[in-house]
Amino acid sequence: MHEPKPLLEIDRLSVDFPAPDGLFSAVRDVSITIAPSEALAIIGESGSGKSVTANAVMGLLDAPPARVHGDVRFEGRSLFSMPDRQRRDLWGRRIAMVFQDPLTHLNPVYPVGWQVTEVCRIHGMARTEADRRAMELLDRVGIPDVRRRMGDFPHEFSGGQRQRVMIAMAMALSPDLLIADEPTTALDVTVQAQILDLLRDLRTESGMALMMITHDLGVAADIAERVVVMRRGEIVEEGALDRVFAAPVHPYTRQLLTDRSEEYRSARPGVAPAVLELDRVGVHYGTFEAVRDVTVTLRKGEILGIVGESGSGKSSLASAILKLRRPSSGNIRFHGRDIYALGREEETGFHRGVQAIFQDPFSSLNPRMTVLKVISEPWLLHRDVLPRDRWRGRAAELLDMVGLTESDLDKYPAEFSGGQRQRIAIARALALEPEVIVCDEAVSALDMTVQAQVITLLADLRTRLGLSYVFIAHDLTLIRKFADHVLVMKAGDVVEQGVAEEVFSRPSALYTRQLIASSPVPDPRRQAERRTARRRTLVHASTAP
Amino acid sequence: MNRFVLKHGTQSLFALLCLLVLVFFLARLTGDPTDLYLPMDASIEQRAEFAASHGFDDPVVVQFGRYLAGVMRFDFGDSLFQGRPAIDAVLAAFPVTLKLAGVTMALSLVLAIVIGSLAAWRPRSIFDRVASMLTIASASAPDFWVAIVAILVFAVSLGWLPTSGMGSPAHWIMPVGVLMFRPLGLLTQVVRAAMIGALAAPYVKTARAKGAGKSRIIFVHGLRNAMLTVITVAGDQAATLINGAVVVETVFGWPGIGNLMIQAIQQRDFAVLQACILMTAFAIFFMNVLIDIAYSRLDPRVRTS
Repeated sequence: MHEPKPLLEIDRLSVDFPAPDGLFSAVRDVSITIAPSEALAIIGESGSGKSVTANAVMGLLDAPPARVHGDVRFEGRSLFSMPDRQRRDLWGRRIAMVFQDPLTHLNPVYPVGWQVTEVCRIHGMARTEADRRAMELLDRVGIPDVRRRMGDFPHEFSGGQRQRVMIAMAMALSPDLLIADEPTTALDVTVQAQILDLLRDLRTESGMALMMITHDLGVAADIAERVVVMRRGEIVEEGALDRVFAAPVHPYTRQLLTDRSEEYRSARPGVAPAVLELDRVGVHYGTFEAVRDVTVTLRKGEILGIVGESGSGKSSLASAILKLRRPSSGNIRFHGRDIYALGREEETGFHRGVQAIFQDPFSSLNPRMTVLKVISEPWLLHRDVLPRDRWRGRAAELLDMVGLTESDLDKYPAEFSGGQRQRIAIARALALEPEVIVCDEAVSALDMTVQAQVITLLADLRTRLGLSYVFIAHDLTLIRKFADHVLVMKAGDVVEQGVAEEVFSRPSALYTRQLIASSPVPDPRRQAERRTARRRTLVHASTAP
Repeated sequence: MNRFVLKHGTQSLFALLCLLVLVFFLARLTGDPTDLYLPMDASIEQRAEFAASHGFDDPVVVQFGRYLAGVMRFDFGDSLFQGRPAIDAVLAAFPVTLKLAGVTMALSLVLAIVIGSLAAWRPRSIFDRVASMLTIASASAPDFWVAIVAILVFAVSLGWLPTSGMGSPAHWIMPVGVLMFRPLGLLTQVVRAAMIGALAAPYVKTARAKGAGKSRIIFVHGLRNAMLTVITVAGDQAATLINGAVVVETVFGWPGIGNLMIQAIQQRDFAVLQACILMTAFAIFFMNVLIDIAYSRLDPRVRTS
C-alpha cells in the first residue's frame, strides 16, 4: 500500500506568544499530515494548542504578537511563503473553516443569504449565480423555507441553524479541506448529533478532507478516521481512531479515556429524611411558561440530577429553589416549610442551608476580592456563625478541604485556573455549612480531567459532610455517573424521572432515548452502532433546528 | 422598526414638552418683564398699560396657556428690538447655522472615518500614534483660542482669509476649520476604538477565512459594525453644533442662531430667546429621531426587537 500524496502538511509548526515572563510556547514542533478525503480529529483540552494550530494553518493568528515557525504546505506549496493574494485565493475556495460559536462568527448586520453569497462573490462568481448557489446550499444544510429566510439576520436563527449556515458558507465552493474548530461545542446534544451527521454526509458527497478540532472524545469517535492527541502544545499520541481508543499508548490518552468512564456514585439505598420537596412547581416569565408541574423530593445525602437542553427550564427551576424567582404555582418546602412563606429566623436558616455554585468560575468570583474575602463574605452577612478572628483559620480549613492551600488565601481569582476557581466557589458555598448545594452547570465550562477532579471532590464532600446536591447539567454522561435520581426536562416539562440507573438503562420516554442516542461515547465501535440507531430515532427530527 | 422609532419619538416629544414648560417659567423667574422694558421712572399707569398690552397682568396659568397656544402656531410674540415676529428672526438665522453645522459634520465624519480606520488597522503603528496624539490635542483645544489664533495668523498676519462675515467660499474656511477641531478629534478617537473592536470580532476571522481582502474587511465588515457606535457620538456632536456654535459664530460674525441667541440675551429680548431655545430644541429632537432611524437601519437586531 503506497502513501497517498498529502493534501495538507503541517511541518514542525511552533507558535510562541510573548508572556510577562518571556515567551509562552502554545504549540511546539507539531507535524501533522492530512491525506485527501481523510477525516482527522485533533483532540485536546483547553491550552493544548489544538485551536492555535488550526488558526495558524489559516493564518488567523495576529502576528505579531504570535511568532510562528515551521511551515504549512497545501498540495506541496508553502502557505507561509506564498504571496498574500495567492493565499487568499485558497481561503474559502480550497480550504474553508467552521468555528465554535456561530453567533459571534457571523456578521450581525448582514443577512445570512448575503454572507453565504459573499464567499462566492469574493472568488469571482456572478451575483445571480451566487444567489442560486447560496439558496441551494442553505437548503442542503437543512434551513427550512430558504427563499424567505435568505434575508433574515443571524440573530433570527437558532444556534443549530446558525451552525448550519456557517457550514453552508464553508461548503459554498466545495473545498478540498474543511477545518472545523469545535463546531458542536456550543450546541445541545441532539443538535450536535444532527450537525455531525450533516458533516459526515457532506463529506461522503464531496469527498473533502476534514480536520476536526475537539475536546470531546465522543465527537472524535463519531467522525474521525485518525486522531492526534495534543497536550500542552505537543502531540502526545497519533494513530488510527480504533487503535488509539482501544489501545492508547500514552498515559495522558489513557487518563483522558478513563476520566470519562469512572464511576462516582456511592448509591445509598434506604430512605433518608427529605430535605427539599418540590410540589407541582411552575415558573412563568410573563406569559411564557418556563417550568410546568415539577414534583420531586431531594433526600439527605442524595444527588438529584436535572438534565435538559437549553430552554428546557432547568435553570429556571434552580432559580425557584434558590429563591431567586418565585414560582407561579406549586410550592417548595425546605425541611417541610414552604420557602416562600418563612419567618425571619427560618429565612436565615434557609439561606445558610441552601447554597449555589454556578457555571462560570470566571465571572462568579469578584476579581477585586482576595480568596480570603471571597470565602469569608458569607460570614460578614451571617454574623453569628463565626467570630472574625477565626475567619482566616476556618477559610484555610475549607481551602484544604477543596484541595487548595492556606497560601492561596491572599491571592486574587485571576491567579487561578478555571478548575481552581471552581474549587474556590465550592469552598465559599461550604462556608455556611449548608445541607443542599445547587450546582447549575457547575462543571460544564471545565476541561474533562478538571471536570473529573471537581466531580470527585463533590462526591467526596457528599460522603464526608452528608450534603445533598441538585446537579443541573446538559451532559448526560456526567449525570449518569454522578446522580442518584434524575429528572429529564424538555421545554419546561419533566418527560421522565426516577432512579438514575433505571432511567439510563431503560429509558421510557422517546426524548430520553433521543438524548442518550445523541450523546456521543468515546468508543468508535459503539459510537458507530449508536449512530445507526440514532438515525432511526432522529429521522423525523432531521429538519428541525 | 417603525415601533422602535415611534417609541423613541414619543419619549423625545415628552422631553420637548418638559422643555417648553421650563423655558416659560425660567423666563418668568428672571423677574417682572415690565421692569426691564420701561424706564425707571415710568408711572404706575404706564406700567399697568404695558403689562396689559403684553398680557402680563393675567394669571400665570392663563399666560402659560396663551404661550402654549402660540408655540403650537409657531408664534412666540414680537421681538422688542427688531420690530418683527421673533420666529422670523430665528428662521432667518437658523438655516445659516444649519449649513455651517452640516458642512462641518460631513467633513469631520469623512475625515474621522478615514483616519480612524487606518489607525485601527495597525494599532500602535507610527500612523496610529501620530493620529492619536493629534486628535487628542484637537479634541481638547478650546475653540475661542483656536479661533483667535486662526484670525491672527491667516487674516491679520498672512492676509489670506477674511476675518468675519459670510459670502464668498473663503469666508467659510476659518469657521468650518475651527468648528471641526472638536468633532474631528473626538470622532476619530471613536472610529478608531470602534474599529479596533470590530476588527477583533470573530466575524472578521470568518471573513478572512473566506478569502476577503483588506479593504473588504475594513469597509464591509468592520466599518458597518463600528458605525453603530460612531453614529451615536456623531449625532451628539451634531446636536452640539446645531445648538449654536455660539463662540465661533460670535468670533467670526456669522449671522447664525448662536449669534442671535447671544444678542437676545444681552438685550433681554425674551420672545427671541424663547424662540431660539425652542427652535434648537426642536432641531435636536429631530436630530435624535434621525439618529434612531439611522440606528435601526444599520442594526437589524434593533429593527426586530
